[in-house]
Amino acid sequence: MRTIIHDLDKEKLSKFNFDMEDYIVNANECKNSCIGCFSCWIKHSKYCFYKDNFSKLVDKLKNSDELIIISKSRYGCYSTNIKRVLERCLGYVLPYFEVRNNMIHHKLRYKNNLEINTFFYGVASKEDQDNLYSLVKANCINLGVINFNVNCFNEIEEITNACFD
Amino acid sequence: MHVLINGSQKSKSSNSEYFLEYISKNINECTIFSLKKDSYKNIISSIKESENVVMAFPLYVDSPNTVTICFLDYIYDNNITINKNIYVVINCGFREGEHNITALNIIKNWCKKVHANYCGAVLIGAGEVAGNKKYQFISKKVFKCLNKLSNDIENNIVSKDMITTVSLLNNKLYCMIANIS
Repeated sequence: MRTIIHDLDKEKLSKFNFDMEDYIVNANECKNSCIGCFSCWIKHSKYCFYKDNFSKLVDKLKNSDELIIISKSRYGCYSTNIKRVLERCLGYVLPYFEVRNNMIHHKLRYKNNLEINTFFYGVASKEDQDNLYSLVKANCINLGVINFNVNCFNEIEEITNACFD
Repeated sequence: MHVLINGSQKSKSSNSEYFLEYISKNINECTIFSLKKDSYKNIISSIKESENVVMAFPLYVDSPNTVTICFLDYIYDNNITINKNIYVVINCGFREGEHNITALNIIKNWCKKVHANYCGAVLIGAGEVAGNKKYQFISKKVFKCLNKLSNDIENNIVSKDMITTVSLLNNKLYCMIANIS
């Protein structure tokens, strides 16, 4: 199964032929931001305390073999809406710490082979591109993900169906 | 006048607020704003009258937290020019301050795009420890960096990128203590 988190509008989304089995998450619909309460780590164990369509996204990620992120980028970061969804998934890892690659990271809740492929549009400079790579790489180390890809595009139209094969 | 901006999403006491309050004691005439509680319009009109801006926020998903990014977007999307000196304080829960580098680079890129003058940062590891009064005795290095940043803010000069964390604990010990508590 693939989970696809995107910040596209209806018209842009309709240009892509995703599979029937794909779980598609429209980040623009996420209205509740993480408030740093750490309920997902302490009280509700992995689920966000806000009850909406995003509170149990960690289960979808657990059952996915690929996570695709399609995001606008302005300064070498995910768009606000994508970032809001990612923060709601803190429960994907455990609150406990361990040393991995000589640095401290959160302990992993799941031992699965998730692959992360990211597609950024609106990327204008080399600096933004470099930072997007560092950012996704850092995310992947924290999530215990080994295989990842960072694809940067100037215009959204450059992202086509062929990109997802 | 200096504008200090707390980007934490926590409504009660946050580490970012704690570090900003410390800086505010070392500089003259400053106002602390909260991105969660104060209106963007008030904050921006104060920035326009100020000399320096200090932004403090926690690290989430290896980048500035959403509350902070919303503010960055507001300024960028509305073509607001911030031709001021920007100083940054980022804290994370991991022991190493190095985890904050990707978030700092995002701020640096943003500064270029809104014509702000990036002037230096303190990247704090073990923010939960350094931000707790009880553990001041092992947080001296962190506050030394905040002193340096405060001095440079007060003198309107370019500071450095300082990476710091608490003393006495090594990585293994930090994990052990953090996992128990």
